[in-house]
Amino acid sequence: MSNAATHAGTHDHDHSHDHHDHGGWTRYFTTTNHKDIGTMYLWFAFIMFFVGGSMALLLRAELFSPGLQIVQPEIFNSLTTVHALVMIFGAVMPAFVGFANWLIPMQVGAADMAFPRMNNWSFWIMIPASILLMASFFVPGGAAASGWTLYPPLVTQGGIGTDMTILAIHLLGASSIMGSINIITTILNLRAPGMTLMKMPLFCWTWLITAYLLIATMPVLAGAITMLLTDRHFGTSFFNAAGGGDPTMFMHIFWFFGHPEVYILILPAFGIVSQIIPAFARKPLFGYASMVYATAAIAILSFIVWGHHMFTVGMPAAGQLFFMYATMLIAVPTGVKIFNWISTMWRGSMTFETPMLFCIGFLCMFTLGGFSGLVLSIAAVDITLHNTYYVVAHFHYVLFPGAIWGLTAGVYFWLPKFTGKMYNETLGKWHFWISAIAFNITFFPQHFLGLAGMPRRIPDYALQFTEWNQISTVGAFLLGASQLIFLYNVVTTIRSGEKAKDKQWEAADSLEWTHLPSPAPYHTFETAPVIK
Amino acid sequence: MTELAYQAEMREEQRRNSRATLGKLLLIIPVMLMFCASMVPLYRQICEVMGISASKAVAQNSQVDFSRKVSVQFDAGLNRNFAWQFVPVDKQVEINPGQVVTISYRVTNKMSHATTGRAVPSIGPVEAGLYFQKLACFCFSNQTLQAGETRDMPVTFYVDPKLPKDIGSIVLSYTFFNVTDEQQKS
Repeated sequence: MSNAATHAGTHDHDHSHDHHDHGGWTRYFTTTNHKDIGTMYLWFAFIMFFVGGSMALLLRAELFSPGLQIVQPEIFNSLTTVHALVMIFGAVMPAFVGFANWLIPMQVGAADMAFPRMNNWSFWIMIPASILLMASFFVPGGAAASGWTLYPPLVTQGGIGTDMTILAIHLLGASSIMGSINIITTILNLRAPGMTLMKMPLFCWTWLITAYLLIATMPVLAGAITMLLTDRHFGTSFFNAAGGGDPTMFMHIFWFFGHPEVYILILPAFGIVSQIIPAFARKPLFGYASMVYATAAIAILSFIVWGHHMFTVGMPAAGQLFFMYATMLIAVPTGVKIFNWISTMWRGSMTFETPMLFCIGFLCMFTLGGFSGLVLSIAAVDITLHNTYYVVAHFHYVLFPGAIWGLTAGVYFWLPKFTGKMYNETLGKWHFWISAIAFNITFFPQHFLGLAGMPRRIPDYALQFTEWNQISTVGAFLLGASQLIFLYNVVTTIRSGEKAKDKQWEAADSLEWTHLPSPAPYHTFETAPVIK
Repeated sequence: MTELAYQAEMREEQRRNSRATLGKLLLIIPVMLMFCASMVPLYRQICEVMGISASKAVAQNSQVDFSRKVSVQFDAGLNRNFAWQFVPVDKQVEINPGQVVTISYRVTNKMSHATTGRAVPSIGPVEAGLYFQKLACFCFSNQTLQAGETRDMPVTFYVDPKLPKDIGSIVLSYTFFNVTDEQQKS
């Protein structure tokens, strides 16, 4: 993707009025160009994806056999915690923001994001945040070891590493809020003449709704972790039972943020998939309006289901029933989306290039993850499965083939537009098939482990769980290795890929394909296009 | 030229609109922060209004026999020449066998000088005496009241769940004896 930048350099003489592009090493610090910032976001996310993945492999290596071999329990807990935080706040969310930066201005026909300077800032504050998060491993007491949910009282006992984690989350939250403000403002105000809201590509729609979710929930998380911080250092007792506080209160507040957060992690992937499937089925998206309404319905419902994360904390039966039915209700708009994607493919002239393969993989595996989610939503069943590997299997089924494959499909799909070069299709297919097989080897056995009663977040386990854990670990290393194919493919594409066509995918119909060359020039739509 | 002017005008309008949107969006942040802070009292209020209470689910004491009730009546009496007022605060309670209960008697010294009394309990019917367990009681010990003083004297007891089924009510009776003289002698 740095190639897009060098290419942009050659465009400079066309845009002599450009004051932003300094060149030299300071360029990326001061850039306000949405494509530069998008590129930085995507590389940042890619690096964090490998960092978080390495942590996961350490965890799986420890779980290869019962007993303690590689890491001590404290380190194991820290790795579990930071793996989750890195993947959520460091990999998936920045990657989606990267796509939003690259694509939204081009797709709505705007010259740039609405607030370019804020855009620069929202990227760069992620750097100190991630340094804080990673450096917490090397301070006395180690990194936060309370799980990414940061439940008290465990979290109030941690060392300075916990404070560093909390501050890192504050910064990452601020970054997300700024990114969201930029995205909403761009979509609402900077659309080209004729680009009505209901004509926007679905990626813009899903991001618009996601951005509202972020603005509404990030302050709630910030409030909750600020209370943790004052409990730890300033003698307050929000969550400290000894002072009259209530640890359950943290769980309620955290999951009021936490549940919309899981939709923040998946809705933009829905958007990406909604653009790729029509391109390879060579049919317009089935039920565009219902897709928009379904996305909004999911977002609204996501605010009233947080209790299903805490069925076991002692909740009145009426509360459990409410959260159970509300949770099940979400399956309806989600089902509408799945139905629309399948209908889009129905009788289409389909071809199966790498982005399409990842989308179809997304569709199958995400639906499976949705089903295990429905199982968990039943309050009576959840009491047995709560905090077991069944839950781990469930959320990896929706996050890996959901969020990560959505992103991967997006990278393969738009790489030709970003870089002007075509990726290696054979390597892409290898990447998909190895990922698909390895993913299922890794996570499918975890359903069995959970049903058999293996708790999550433990470094050691009873002997009868050994075989499935070994299979899962083997799968995990294969899955990790397959991501190296991805990295290699992206790097070689940028360095020496074949030249891509302006409209690489014949049925892609959003503005970046129909109106712009490949690679997309550094400045686009300085004169707004008119959409009929 | 008109096209350029149109574009410039459009950009200017977009800039103005963006500012307005920014203001509205920034407002959401403090609103949600306040929402976060008010979530718990709100949640409690809703549960209270809707009659949803976690306290109903509290575990019950398995040593209490909830299948039947026993009525316990309280009686108070005074020995001769004793101007105290001595009455039970509650005349009767309905309890489950095994349940620990605290009731109290009210004593007032109507005499013009300090007096010491001592109470002796009695339980009827006599068979019930074996199953009536007093955990704390003012009886058998000297109680000195100043002139005109009033005092509440608690009794904590339970009825053993092994109480025979045919006993449906028990009377606990106390009689206060004036022991002022005895005390002065000793």
